[in-house]
Amino acid sequence: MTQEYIQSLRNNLKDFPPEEQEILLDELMSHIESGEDDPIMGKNKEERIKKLMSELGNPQDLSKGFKSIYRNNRFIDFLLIVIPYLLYPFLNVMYSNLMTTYNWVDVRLDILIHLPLVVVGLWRKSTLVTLFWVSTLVIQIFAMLISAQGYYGNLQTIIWLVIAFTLITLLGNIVWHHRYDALIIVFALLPLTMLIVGIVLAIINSSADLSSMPQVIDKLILDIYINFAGFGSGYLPFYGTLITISLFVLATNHNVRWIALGFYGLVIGLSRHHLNLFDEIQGLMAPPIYLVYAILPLVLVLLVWRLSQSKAQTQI
Amino acid sequence: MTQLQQLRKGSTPLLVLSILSNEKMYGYQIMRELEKRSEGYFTMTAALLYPALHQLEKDGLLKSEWQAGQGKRKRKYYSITSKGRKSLENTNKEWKMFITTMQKTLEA
Repeated sequence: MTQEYIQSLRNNLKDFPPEEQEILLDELMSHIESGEDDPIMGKNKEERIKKLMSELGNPQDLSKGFKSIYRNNRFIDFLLIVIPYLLYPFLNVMYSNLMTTYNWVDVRLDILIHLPLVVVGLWRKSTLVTLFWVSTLVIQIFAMLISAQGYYGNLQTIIWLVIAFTLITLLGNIVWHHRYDALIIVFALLPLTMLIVGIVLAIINSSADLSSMPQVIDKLILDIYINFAGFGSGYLPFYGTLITISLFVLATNHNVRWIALGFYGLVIGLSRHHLNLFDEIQGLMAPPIYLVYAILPLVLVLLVWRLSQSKAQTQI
Repeated sequence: MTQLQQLRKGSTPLLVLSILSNEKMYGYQIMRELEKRSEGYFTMTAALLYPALHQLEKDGLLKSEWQAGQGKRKRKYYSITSKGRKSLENTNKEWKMFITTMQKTLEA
């Protein structure tokens, strides 16, 4: 009977990170253990368990109570991600207009404007807000430094690298803290992983075998790329990220959040944010490179999802 | 939810702080102590007690630590903080004033 209660509570706490889930369940299991051993609760174990169950109440009510304490800030998190993100296109237009007069108004200003959002995320103790802006800014800084190719000079490059590595350290710290939560780890590391994959694929580009991939898929991928992805500012990266991140932040169901993350991976892959950089520098790459890049993040998300599910099943 | 239930739910933080004002206790122990002190009048479900404990901890009125208990499993002991003591003092005063005024009004 008590096992059924714990199982039901576990199911109701599914959208909590596994580490937090275990802490909450441990406390309740300790409560059950105390009750089972307490003679005040009844003459025999059966009687004690019966009284204990009535005292425990409904597992749904208990999980609702915990959710109201720990999961009540999602909408504010959502706004802190979506509103600044929606302002991106307007800021870009503004930078383009101002750049003709003031040459310092470029991506650097954009990064500096968005840095306080990391501070806000930390202050609110919001993992999602902090991770989203940290990974966005790290990629922006590296993208800026790679495409600038030494334009900002040594001192500025060093300062930007220090900022980037500070942010990466922060990201590593958050990931370590959530090391048992596969969902958060994937959300945190996917964009950076794809940046690294982008760099590696760009390096091996010259050795790619053009004849090994089917032409139809190549054409489809390139069509999506040209029509929707654009060079860094297309519809697919912008609206795709907006929709998938909104779903990921607002959804309470664990599986829905994984699905949102899967589509987020697909958007990253198809929009090829981090390959665009190299396209601009060294021209279009071989189609197999794009194909690998488009499919890889989705495969990574699905793989980790599957692994985390099989791990959860063995725990039960 | 009836008015009495609402009143009971509202008084949970005060009761918990009061019980923990003298010694640290774990959830099950708090439940039993409450039952004992109120002579069985206040019976609390886990669904009411544990979220209240976690909320009080989040607000800095309680702190907790895991300690080995008599059984196989560790127990999470809660103790009151100085902020919690101040809050208990203030709420206690307000509560006494509320009861006195309520009684006066009803008996007038």
